[in-house]
Amino acid sequence: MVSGSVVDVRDIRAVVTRRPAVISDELVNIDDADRGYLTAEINAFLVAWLSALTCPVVNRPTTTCLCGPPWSDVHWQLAAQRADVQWHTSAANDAEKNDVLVCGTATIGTSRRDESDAALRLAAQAGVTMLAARFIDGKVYAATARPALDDPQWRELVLDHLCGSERVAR
Amino acid sequence: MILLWGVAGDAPFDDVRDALSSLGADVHVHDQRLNAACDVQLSCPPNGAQLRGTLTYDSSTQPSLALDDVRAVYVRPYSTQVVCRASSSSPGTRGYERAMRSDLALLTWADLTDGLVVNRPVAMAANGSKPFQLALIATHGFAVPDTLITTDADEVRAFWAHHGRLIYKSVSGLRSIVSQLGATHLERLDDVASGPTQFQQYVPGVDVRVHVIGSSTFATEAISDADDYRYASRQGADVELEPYQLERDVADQCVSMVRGMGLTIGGVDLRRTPDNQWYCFEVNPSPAFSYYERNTGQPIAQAIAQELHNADRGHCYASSECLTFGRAHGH
Repeated sequence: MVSGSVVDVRDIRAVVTRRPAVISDELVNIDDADRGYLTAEINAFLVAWLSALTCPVVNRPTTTCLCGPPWSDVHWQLAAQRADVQWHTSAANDAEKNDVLVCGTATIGTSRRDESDAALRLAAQAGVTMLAARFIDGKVYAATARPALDDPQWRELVLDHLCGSERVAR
Repeated sequence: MILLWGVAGDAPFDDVRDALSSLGADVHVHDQRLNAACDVQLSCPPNGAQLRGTLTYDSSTQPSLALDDVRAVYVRPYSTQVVCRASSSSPGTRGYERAMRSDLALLTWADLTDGLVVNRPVAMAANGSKPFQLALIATHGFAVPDTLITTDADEVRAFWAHHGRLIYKSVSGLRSIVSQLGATHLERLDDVASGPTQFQQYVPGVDVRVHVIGSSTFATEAISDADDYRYASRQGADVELEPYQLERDVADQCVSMVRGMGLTIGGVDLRRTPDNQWYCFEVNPSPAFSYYERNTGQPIAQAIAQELHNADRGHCYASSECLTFGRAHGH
């Protein structure tokens, strides 16, 4: 249902998931006693539904989060090690910082090839299509599978990934 | 070192602990009720692929544990909320928050450590979405029931008319009891508008629970008139459990499926139809096997203990097969 209209699933061309879960406080019309249960039911349904969609979905859900892996820093650090990506453990104020967005095989946010390549390797290791990583002097300082998309250029990159050929055609 | 993480008094947890004891294994028991009185520290040293960690307790009588020394772990915790409720710790209290932190850290560690984890939390979580898991099951060659998840009562009526008999059960892992749809449900069928509700074709046949432990299988036939034999008494029905001689190819299929789901052990719920088709309904990644063991004499706890013991001694275990980094889904 979008703005009061039912959208056929076959008409959905792409999905960007921005929320990790539905939370029980949102179900204001449901009795308190049933909210926890119904929240679990909705999230379980969404995990299955988003996983089964044949159109592009960024990011695909994991079984515990609707928009990719809900990893802690330790998870990301170990993933970085296994992807041969160096991790920065402390940030000096004057250090060069680059926030890099990966979407599919494209990156934006840095002119350094080593940072782009490292971000792509980290996304591959995490099994996600979209990822943001903060680099300090060529090393990752933080990473997330749920990047803020405040920057219009970042949104453009995501849209290009989701419906690139259609956008060119228009 | 083998770590047992769960709640003492829980039958499968106790059975595995006792079986390990009989093997003379080196075991550290972490009772989850101590979570509010312990700390878990994890770190990932630069330039080292090994995750480091320690588990320390407030009480000096409880020995601390270097998680780096753990080569095998049996994971059977309850939800933090349930454990805290039993000890009267409520959300917002220091004890509750500390218990939550300990659980989260141990879950993280269990997902990432190189040792044998029975089972990894990330792999177990698939059971929290029944339709997601059913899609995985279908890729392993078992028949799966035709399924409808809807908020539309008209769709339910059409699905019912098509199949004649339906069951309904939860979409998530909560309140997961199977019931048959009957005439008494007609008047409240419109209630499905409240949230997604799962309906499945009724599949007639014989229930067989297969416990897969590594490459071993223990099959049990459940004979009952109840819709869900696990809760037969609630329907005033009886249940009888008997060892079942599973065909080799079906047993192999179960082993392959459980392994394919990233699990070392699993409780596979099968039903053999009168025309000898095998349906699979779900795979329980933390099976309460003791109920079956007590009724059949099958040495399931012993088999789990042996898997853990073998891994601790460095036998027959390839850690790379078990570690997944959230790649359960295609893109």
